Amino acid sequence: MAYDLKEMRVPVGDLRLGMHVLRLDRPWEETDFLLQGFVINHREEIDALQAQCEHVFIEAKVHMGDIASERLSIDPAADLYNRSETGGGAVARGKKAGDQYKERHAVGKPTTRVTYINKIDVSKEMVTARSAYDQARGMARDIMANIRLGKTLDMHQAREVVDECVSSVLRNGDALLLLTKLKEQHEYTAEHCMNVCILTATFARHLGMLEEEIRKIALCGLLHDVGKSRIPDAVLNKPSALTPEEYKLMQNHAALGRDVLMASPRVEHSCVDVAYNHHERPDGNGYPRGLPATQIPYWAKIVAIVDAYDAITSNRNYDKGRASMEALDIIHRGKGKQFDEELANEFIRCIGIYPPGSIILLSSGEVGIVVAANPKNKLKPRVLLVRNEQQGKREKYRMIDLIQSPADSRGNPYAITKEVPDGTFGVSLRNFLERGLVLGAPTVYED
Amino acid sequence: MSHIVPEAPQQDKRTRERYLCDDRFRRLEITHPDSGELLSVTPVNFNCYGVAFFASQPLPESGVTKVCLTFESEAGTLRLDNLLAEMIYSLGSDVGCYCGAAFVSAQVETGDTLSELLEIERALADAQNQEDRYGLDDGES
Repeated sequence: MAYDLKEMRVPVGDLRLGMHVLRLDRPWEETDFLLQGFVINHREEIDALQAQCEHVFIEAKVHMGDIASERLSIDPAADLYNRSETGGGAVARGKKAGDQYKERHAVGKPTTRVTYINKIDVSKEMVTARSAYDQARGMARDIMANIRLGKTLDMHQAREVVDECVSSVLRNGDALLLLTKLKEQHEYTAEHCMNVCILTATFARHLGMLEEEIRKIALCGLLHDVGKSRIPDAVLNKPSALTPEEYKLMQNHAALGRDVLMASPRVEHSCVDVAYNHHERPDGNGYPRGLPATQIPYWAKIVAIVDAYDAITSNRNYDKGRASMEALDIIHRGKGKQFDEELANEFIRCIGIYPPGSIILLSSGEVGIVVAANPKNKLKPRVLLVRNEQQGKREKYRMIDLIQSPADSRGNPYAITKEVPDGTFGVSLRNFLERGLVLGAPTVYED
Repeated sequence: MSHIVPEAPQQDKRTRERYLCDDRFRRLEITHPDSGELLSVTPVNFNCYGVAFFASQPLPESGVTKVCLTFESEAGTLRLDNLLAEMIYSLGSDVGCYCGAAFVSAQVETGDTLSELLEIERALADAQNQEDRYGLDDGES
């Protein structure tokens, strides 16, 4: 196959190991570099380039196939570069790679979009999902524990965890999502990694990413906080709010995650990107590097939103998590500053205002659990009433469908007042699920 | 220190509705309860009794803070400085810190402060769209 060698301009935020740097945006003499042109072999070299330059020029091989005028791919190093932008190696049609890069930077989302439909009913998928979740959470715990002990990250094990979860999400998008709402109090880090993996897969499915991309970005989600395995237990599991000094220490987990992953064999470059950049912010006030929006990898922007959502809704040793809607409020208010605006909007659409499993207070004073969202009107879900007007126990639970405008005991139509965190008014989602509450099934339950 | 927050039920601290903030909040700054450092934070929800906000640094779950805010209302710019408030919760993580602060009644009930806080609350309440909470305007949210 014929190819051309081309020089390509690359922003320093997109540099990858293996790229051949030909020249800089300034004379070599003005920098610390001893060699005038080199292949990037160490992460430190990327850091040095990022500290001293805004962009550099790399060598790229351009393959020209039979349909050279329509398809174009670049390798070896530029392929890595391209892959990080697209998140999966999409091939541009009728565009030069540079144009493709610019377009992706501007649009910030894959050009190919897939629409997924649920292949199996949520109640059936729940059985498989529950087993997959328990197993995967155990494996996530092992992964973190092994790294803490100085062992190499077992990528095979990590991919196994992810594949099980992604397969479930692709069969039905709701089953595992519901399990992420069952928060434990004492297992935050492993559970959080699992939840971010599942939520990322769910969000990627919503965004219409290709199946292979969903598997890769879910792996990024699982490993995004792997650097926390190098944070002292006393800080990581502190049963109260962190001091500013401890918070600084905690912030090191992004760079530590990059180091752990780069030292591991057969790691996807996108995982390194996400672990290192998932706390960067579009307003440039993120950490560890304070990158501007254009230099933050697209997948890191996705995981940043998911990470925040799960962190806000999760229980800690010292406090209960907040309601889903409060987390969405925070993401909404952080749009364009802490979170990518377009992705934040999509995430809100993906989760929905009252996702199944939400505990809600109704205008009558009664308390209910959202059993199923209404695809026609997400503000009017199907609800199982589990507490009476005084928030006490009911003699019989009652299922209502808000789209049908049912009336309360005073003849007023039901309306949702607000969502409250799991556990409020003594309503524990876990208890209801363990007692057989099935999403989507209009069953009558006895107290 | 007394709050004007009414006695809350045991399981749900907030009895008065809080309204989702919007970009009419031109500024929300608080002083760190321990260090006194002035911090710019993101307002999340608000009523005349208190404000919930998101900060990019950890904050203690108790202590007194001073709140400074600027709000663009229809009548003009409302500017409130050094409003005493007490931290009532703080949920911190590596993504930031979600906090709630209740305005201190003794100060709020004097002068025009309460009426200005009520004006902000009313402006936010009027802007709430139950059908489209986040303004995505596509029937999806």
